[in-house]
Amino acid sequence: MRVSTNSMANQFLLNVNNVNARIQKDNIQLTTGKALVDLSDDPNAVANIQYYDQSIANSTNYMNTASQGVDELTTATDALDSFSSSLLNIKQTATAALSVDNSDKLPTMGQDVMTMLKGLIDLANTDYNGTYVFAGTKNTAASLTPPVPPATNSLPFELVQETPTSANPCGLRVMFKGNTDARTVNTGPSSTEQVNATADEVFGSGGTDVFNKVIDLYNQLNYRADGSKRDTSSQPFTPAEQSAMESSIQQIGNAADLTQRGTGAAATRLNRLQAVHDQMSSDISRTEEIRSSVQDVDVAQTIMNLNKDQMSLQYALQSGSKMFSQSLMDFLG
Amino acid sequence: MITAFETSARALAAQQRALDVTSNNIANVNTPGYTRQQAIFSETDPLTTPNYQLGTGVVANNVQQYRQEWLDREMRNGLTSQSGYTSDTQLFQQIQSALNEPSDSGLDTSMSNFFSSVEQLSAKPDDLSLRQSVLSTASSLAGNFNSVLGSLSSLRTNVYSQMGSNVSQINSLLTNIANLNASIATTRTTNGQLSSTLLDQQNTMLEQLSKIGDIQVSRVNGVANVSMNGMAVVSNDKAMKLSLQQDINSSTSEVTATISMTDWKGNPVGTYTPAGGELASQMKYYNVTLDDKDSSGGFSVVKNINTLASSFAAKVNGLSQTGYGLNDTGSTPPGRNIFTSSDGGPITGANIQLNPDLISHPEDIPTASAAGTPGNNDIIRQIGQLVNDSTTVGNQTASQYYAQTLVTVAHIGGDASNGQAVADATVTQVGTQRDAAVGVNMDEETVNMLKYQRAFEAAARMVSATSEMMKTIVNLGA
Repeated sequence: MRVSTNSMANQFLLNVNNVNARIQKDNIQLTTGKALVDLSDDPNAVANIQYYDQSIANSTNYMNTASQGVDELTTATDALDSFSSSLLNIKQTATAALSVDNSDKLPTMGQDVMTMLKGLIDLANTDYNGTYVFAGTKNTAASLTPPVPPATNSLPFELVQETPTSANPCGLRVMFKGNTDARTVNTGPSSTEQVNATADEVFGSGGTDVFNKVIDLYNQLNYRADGSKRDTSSQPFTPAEQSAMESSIQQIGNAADLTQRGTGAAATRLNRLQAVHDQMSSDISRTEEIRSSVQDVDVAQTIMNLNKDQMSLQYALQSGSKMFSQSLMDFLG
Repeated sequence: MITAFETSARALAAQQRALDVTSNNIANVNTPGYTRQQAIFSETDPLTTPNYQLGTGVVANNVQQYRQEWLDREMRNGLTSQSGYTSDTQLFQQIQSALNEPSDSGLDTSMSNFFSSVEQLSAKPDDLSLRQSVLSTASSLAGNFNSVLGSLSSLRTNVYSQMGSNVSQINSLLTNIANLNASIATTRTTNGQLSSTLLDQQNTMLEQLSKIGDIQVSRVNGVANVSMNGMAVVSNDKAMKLSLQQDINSSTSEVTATISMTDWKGNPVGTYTPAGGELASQMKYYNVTLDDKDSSGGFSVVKNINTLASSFAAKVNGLSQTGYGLNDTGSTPPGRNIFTSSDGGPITGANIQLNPDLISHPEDIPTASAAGTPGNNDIIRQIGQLVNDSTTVGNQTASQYYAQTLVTVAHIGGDASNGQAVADATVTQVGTQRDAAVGVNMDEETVNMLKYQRAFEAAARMVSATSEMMKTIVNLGA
């Protein structure tokens, strides 16, 4: 077959270009770590990578949301544990009051109960990162201001002073300014999880029942059944008062049970969120591994290809330099 | 004796002619489109006597051009295919670049970032820094849509410009081919031989033309009659004119490009729809792939991105309109959109923007389903779940729709790349075959040079020897 001079040159250039193109691709793959340099390299892989990217992004979102929910519920359950302990202390104080023989101890005990009530209110006002954990969806200071009398502050739970009545001779009442709405977050494409413990769930009806029970107890320790201030020289409790006292102790116990049930429910949510977090973390690792098998370059193979291509280029250039440096003209005398 | 002189003289002339041809071959070894030539020797008529016939030498009265019409035709077909696929590949690369894929900063990443910020806000809807983050990712997403559509729009404008340039080049080539036809017809030698130089130029122009559009060529006595899409665009020395224009559909406002043809008298004779070559590729991209209002039913990446932007915004806005911001009061939602259009028209990828009313007011992002409940995340949580909404665009999520668009683009690129590889191989193969027949080989020409040189020297020696013999005869009586 005849071979023209230009044909040799064109073929040589074509070969050198092809090798250079391969080397360039090898280099891009190695520097980016990605097997796909162009979308057209593997159209089907493009769809898979998009799917894996989206899946990882979604799982990361759900994992982060779950993580934040875990933190918030941990704060809530820690507060509720302390809350339950305080309720048990109040119950113990009330039980001890039934057995005192001198009524002058009762106001002191009442004062202890009041101190513990204020502690309970502080616990109910626990916040996580600036949001009140038991205030439902009305859980920021901004949403609780300005305070409407008799409220004086912007906390969701406040001990307010109202006009004393025979039923409530001290006139104290715990006001709940939040709401009892649940707050949920997305934990999957079609699943959600509650990330708060609502006030009615842990503090009873209206979110204040437990506090009112404690105030009732405080009233019983400081006031007689007719609403008069307890006389230090008289007998501690009449039989009727004692019966009412026992009923209050029972109700405080019931309230403590309610709080513990609420704590348990919150802990269950916390566990589910933790499980979501762990599952998402595992999903992300697994999906990243699968994506890597599609998207990432086989470094060893590519380095071998690069070496091979570099050698091909070297040989092609050597061959070209020999081919074009010789001509019959060189041998003419 | 005199005959020997004449025979040698003819040999000298013939070898010199052959050496001229070789010299021309060597001179044009790198000339594009040059076809090697060869002096054809033939014996001259013999001297006939009653007893014998005596040869009278050689003459080089013909120069053969090694043209192979079928290889030229195959080459033109190959070039049409190759340039079409090359254009496809280049345009695909530019679309890929406009989409910023494959990368970690494409539209899909922007959408993911938006949903990620939305999910974070849903966990703490009262947090102003998280609200600001949602505004930032929404703005970034809108900006990414604008950027992609802006790049694709510029690309379409550039494609139109290239089409205009190609149409001008076609007109120039058609005119030049017609002029060459006239020259070829008038420069024929007395023995009917055609001008090799003009034929080479004609072939080069035909190949240039075949790169731009699909052509059919029929040659009669060296005159090339060219037709495009079945329409004769060059007949002997007459050439048609092509012109590119934009047509606007009055009902859809779709702008498409068409190429019309007029004959040499200026009369319109129809439209040209290229079936191959650069122009066909450019027309396909201009009228379909990059057409934002494409009505052909083909794949339009611009239309897809616009559909994605408008559907995505509609879904997000549909929810945000029912929500309340942190400071909203009352029982009726304020009806805020998160995304709006910058020109007041329907939202597209080109005009989508973050609602300007929200830019300085992150507290107004509608997150709650009831006023005065900053912890209420019902609306923002639902917006977050749009990431899985399989009705966002048709029966797909936004991400799935975008992935499908990317895959279609990838297949277009893959087809172009594969087609180009095949066309390259074809052109290389045909080129090698043609070069084997018509290309200049320097070693071969050197051999020819030596061969003719030696023959010339031998003929000269014959003249010298004959002269000596004549001298002997003339001096016999001295």
